[in-house]
Amino acid sequence: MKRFSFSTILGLSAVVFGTRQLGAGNNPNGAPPKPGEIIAKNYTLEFPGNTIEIHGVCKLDDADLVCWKPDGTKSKAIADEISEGMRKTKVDFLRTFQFELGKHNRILLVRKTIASGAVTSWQSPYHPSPYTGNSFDNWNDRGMTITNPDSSLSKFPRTELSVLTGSFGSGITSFPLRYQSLKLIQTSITIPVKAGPFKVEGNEYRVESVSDSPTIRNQFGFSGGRSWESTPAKKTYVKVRAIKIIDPDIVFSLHAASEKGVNFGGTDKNGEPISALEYMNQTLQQIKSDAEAQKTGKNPYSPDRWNSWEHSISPIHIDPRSEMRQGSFEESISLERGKIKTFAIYAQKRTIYIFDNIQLDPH
Amino acid sequence: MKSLLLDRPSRSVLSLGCLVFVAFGFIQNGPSGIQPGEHSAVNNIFETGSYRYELGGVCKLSEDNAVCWNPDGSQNKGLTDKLTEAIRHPIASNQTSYSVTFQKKTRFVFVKKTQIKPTGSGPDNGRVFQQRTYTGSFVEGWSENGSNLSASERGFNGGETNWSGIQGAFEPGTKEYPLRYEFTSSPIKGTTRKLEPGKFEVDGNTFEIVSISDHVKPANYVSGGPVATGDYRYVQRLPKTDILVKVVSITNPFSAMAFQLADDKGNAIQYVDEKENTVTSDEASKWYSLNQQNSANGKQKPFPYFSPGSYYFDPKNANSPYPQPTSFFYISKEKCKNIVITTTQREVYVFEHIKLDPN
Repeated sequence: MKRFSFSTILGLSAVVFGTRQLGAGNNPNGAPPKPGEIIAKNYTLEFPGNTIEIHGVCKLDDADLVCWKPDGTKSKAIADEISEGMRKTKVDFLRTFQFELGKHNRILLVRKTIASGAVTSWQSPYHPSPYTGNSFDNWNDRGMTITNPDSSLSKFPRTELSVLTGSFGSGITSFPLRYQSLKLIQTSITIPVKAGPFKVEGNEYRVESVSDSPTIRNQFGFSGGRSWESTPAKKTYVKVRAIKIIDPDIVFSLHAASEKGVNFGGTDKNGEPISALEYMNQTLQQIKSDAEAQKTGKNPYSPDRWNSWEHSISPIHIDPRSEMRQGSFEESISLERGKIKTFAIYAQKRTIYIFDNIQLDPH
Repeated sequence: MKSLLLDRPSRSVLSLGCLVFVAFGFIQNGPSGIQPGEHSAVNNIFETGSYRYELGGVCKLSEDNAVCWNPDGSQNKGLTDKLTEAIRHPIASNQTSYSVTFQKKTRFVFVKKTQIKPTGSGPDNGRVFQQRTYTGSFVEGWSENGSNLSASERGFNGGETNWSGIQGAFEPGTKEYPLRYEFTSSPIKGTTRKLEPGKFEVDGNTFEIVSISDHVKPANYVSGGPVATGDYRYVQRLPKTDILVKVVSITNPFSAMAFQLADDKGNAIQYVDEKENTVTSDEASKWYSLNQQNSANGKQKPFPYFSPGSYYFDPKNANSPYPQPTSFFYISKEKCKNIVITTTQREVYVFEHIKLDPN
């Protein structure tokens, strides 16, 4: 299996490709495994309760879909399976792929098998340099999943096929995909709703301000309000600064919470905060009553109906590795300051895995 | 907002209006043949405004090369070579994207636009004429969305030639497909009329204001509901007035109509303040410049004015599943006294026969 080397790429760039390949050579997303990263064996990662594997790589033009296994072995079976999935969908979006001219455009299929509902960690693709836009070649998650038609959310084991796409310079023969796995490492801690220092697993932060209006202006102006028709949300803006990071793989979420540190998941009809559990129950109730009403042909909606999406309160996620999270940053929580009694912090430990040497062409 | 519009009570009224278009056999994207009011591009060339427009070729792209042909299917070596060069030797800073739909013919058609007169000699805003078709399922045709493939060169006389790549996706069995190109005029100010229920005619098309009422939050909107324009920061306003407009009949599909709320003198209301007092564009700009200076100190107040909203109807969207008219307004109905109507005129040129495969 061939991996593009830095020197080869630099050599090519001088002759033909200008800055393109120079960029690829420095591309953190294409970097070989680093110390601390775990290399997937046989393109498969196993976690308690689920398995993630690289199912295949495909190349599409208007007549053909050619697929191969990640080691480059051609596979008609994969092509047939994906063709069937795309033929069945009625949604055009799921059959249309955004490609780049002059690049080798590939489709990557990642299969996730979920053995049971009892998961203890959460996995997702991880890109060391996610915010560089198109300047680096990368696998991009299209947010598209092909689920087996016979698997419902409550049925185990079930499989999901995630579809990613990537555009690569013609000198690149293989490209890795990293995954992160996040595992809850402690029960929540609570901190007061005011300026002051706090620690999360040894990493030091400081709440710089808690305000009912934004203090930092970004390139788009201030943070926006809700973008749909609802009672204008009252918000609390929290400005946090990273002081000292010992472990960049401790990520955490900061939730609006009650006096006792119970985090709020949303608000009720009157705008009063409710626990995450209560919010989930109300959401399930809403889904159930909508489904029942639809069965009987009644319109389930009414203007004063509680909508989960209108009443959700999302936490602020903080990842020390994220470029967006370096220095001071400010984000909002959709609840007025007076109703937030404490901030609850839930920390997670990240482990980075790498599917290395995914072949971009069949043998 | 589009999905919201679908769910509003006006939907049924608009649908009634849409029936009129079906009866008129209104122009579609696809059918060959010139429809009444359209212009044919003879020999695949036409001139309008400051430019000559010519159909430069049709191409199929792969990751290694391009194959291009003329609209009649004969080989186009010049374009083949240019595109193949671009594919084989791309420049990193010039990323060109395009989309490919599984098991559909993906093609590019290149419109070559050459300047023949000083700019400003007429409408130069040519673009692909496309009706709105957000159905979710595949609709074949040419579209300017999905690709940014283009090139330009400047002649010794200072005139520019631009090549615009327009992408299309087609059913495998489709052999040829026309390209419609449209030009729209600047808005032309028309009449001012009292805002009250009743019919009115604009450029041969008849509309009816059915009702002016307090805004009612739609019962089953999904998301993306209206937020007043002009306040993109954190102050939000909700609609206060609904104006229900029915499209009664269309005899001129080339005229789009818009109206804005107007003051007693017939001047369009650009902005209003918190108390719904009219604010001119000049006053709003002044406030904004002052505010921008303040933002250097890290403090910025939200923009205190907002647009009261407007209504827009373009017959070309009339047979789409998402009717376009906006009938939410952000000031109370007592303030909605007059409307000022503007129209936009459209010219459509058709490249009639474009082969989708080489001979």
